[in-house]
Amino acid sequence: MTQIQRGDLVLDIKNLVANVAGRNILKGLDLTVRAGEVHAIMGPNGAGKSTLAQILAGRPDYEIKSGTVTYLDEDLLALAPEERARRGVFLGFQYPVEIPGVNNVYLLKAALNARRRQAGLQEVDAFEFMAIIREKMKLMKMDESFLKRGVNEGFSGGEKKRNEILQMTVLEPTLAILDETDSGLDIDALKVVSTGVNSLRQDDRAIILVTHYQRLLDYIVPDYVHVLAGGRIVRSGDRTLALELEERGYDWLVEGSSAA
Amino acid sequence: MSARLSPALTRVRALLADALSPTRLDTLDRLIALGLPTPRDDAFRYTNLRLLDRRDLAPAAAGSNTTTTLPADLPIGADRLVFLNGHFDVALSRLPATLRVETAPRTTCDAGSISAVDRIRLLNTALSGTHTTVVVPRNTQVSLDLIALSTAGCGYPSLTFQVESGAQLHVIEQHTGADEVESLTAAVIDFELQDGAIADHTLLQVAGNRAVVIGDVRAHVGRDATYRHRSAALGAQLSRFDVTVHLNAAGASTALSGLFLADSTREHHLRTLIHHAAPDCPSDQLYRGVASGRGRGSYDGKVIVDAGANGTNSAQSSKNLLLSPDASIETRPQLEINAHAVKCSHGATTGSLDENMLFYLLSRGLDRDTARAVLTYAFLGDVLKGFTPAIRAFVEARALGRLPAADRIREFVA
Ligand SMILES: Nc1ncnc2c1ncn2[C@@H]1O[C@H](COP(=O)(O)OP(=O)(O)OP(=O)(O)O)[C@@H](O)[C@H]1O
Ligand SMILES: [Mg+2]
Repeated sequence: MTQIQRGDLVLDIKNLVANVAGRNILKGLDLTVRAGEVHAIMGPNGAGKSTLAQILAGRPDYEIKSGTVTYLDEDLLALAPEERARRGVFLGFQYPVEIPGVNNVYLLKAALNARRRQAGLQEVDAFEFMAIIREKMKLMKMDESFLKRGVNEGFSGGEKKRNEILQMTVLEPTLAILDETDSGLDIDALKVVSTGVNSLRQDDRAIILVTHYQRLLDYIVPDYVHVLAGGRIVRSGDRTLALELEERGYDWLVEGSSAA
Repeated sequence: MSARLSPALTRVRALLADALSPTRLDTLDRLIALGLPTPRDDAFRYTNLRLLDRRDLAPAAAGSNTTTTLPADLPIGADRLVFLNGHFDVALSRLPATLRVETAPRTTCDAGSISAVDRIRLLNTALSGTHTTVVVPRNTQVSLDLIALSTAGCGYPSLTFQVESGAQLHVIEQHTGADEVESLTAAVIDFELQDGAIADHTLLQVAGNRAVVIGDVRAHVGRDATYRHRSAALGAQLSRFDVTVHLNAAGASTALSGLFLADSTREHHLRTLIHHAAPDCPSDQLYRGVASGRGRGSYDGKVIVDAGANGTNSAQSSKNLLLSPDASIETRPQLEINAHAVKCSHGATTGSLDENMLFYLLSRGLDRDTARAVLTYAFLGDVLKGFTPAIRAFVEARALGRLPAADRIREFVA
């Protein structure tokens, strides 16, 4: 595997059109993300942000009508979800699912080893893994009791989001897509989660943050801010765009896009 | 009565006409007149015993030979009662001194109205040689294994456990045998629990692939007594268990749990009947079933609360998982309440693996087979937790062997 350098193309989406349940949601979306960058995607409810995130992770319910998605020189859409994960695509779910009876830690260990196998690295054993996870849990200020529990089983909303970020810090993805990881977090948790995300902010990785709140962007300062509305990126800018949205809402952009 | 002629019964009558005592022959004739249960009998609506038509129902000869040994992988404790091909086998058994064991010739079934399940009892009565009674004396505690080993033909074990007041019985019943043997076991096991007695009954069905195993378990539970039952049906071509619990006096309680795994063309059928005949009795049921390939299964669970059984608290949960389009599991939760001030919850569901859970695991890099196996195994978790560690390990080893990607999923389960 060649080393990824800052500025290398990580994700290139061209004219993506996608339907769900027969309804057209994405209507020609373009987005380019390079290594070392953090992109924030904002936009009104129902605009298609989660749809985009799920399509990138490979959820089968979506029908791709046209367009291309290139991830590190590969056709991402041709890969099965597990193949994407092993190549370094990570989705932090807006609504992480509870899986009673499946142990949190073992899932994470299997996930890490699947990724390491793909990268030609040696698998970590239980002992090495515990050292890794203990360190990351400290970073995420998570209690050791989470180790014994089922995946998200009985976790509070905030705990689930924290768990997603814990997984991300262990898996060290090349492309992390975090879908509203900040919603439902209290102020302290928001800081902790931001610390987790910032710890992954490196030259050989890229991060896409889907959020409704400018506040997250105070902690994780993005390089780009995009507005997704009506199934397209209708405006891109730097972090000042987020401040402007906070003041003006989306109406001016949505109307502008439908008029265009 | 629309009795269906059972060719197998007619054949066995012709074969044994001279060998059976008049009372047993009489019992057999009553059964022939009624026929074996068919799906037209409500209690057997999901179980078709048609495959017995081609089988020879004659009981296997009694007695073991020197080469008969118990399968090495069974979780067997120090004391055990062994039924070899349906016959109580003294040589293979090892009994604690406190226990009183009596065997007596089988008497006929009580007359009166005969239910479909009673007809299995008639079959057992007609063809089983003896009836064994095991008495657990007052205030004693006994743990033992009850092993039904099939090496040839048909076995009709018939057994009553009398647990006297304040006594405790832990029994692990295991149905086992070689895969090549086209065996039938039709077992009748009764528990009579006096006041304050406890019976803890684990039932493991790991019979050979061509076996048919039918079990009729009935518990009569006295004042403040408890009947606990945990089952795992993993083997056999077809297995069918009826578990009937009569909560006869105040404070009697029962908890039933179990799982089955119907892979390839296997069938596992389960029918429970909990009869609340007295006030203030709790009952609880927790069942999980999985069918894959062309496997079939059923859960038919009924709770009856008599008038006057106030303060009844009854919970029932049956969840079932289909892993392939050709698999099927039928369920029928039934509740019949004739009393006031009762708390009953009941329900049964059948579905396939949760797509959201599956996608979550895939999105973390697990391959599809592993993800499916992990979810299947986790689905059984609530029931697995109820077994003792040794039994759990045994059931897991057997159950996992039937799941794809078995070796990779063991460590996942919380
Ligand atoms: N499985 C589905 N079946 C039917 N409609 C769907 C499905 N998934 C998404 N949609 C619809 O697609 C549209 C886009 O949904 P999506 O979840 O992508 O929005 P979003 O931008 O993430 O919104 P929010 O900010 O509320 O999270 C919505 O109208 C939604 O109802
Ligand atoms: Mg969303």
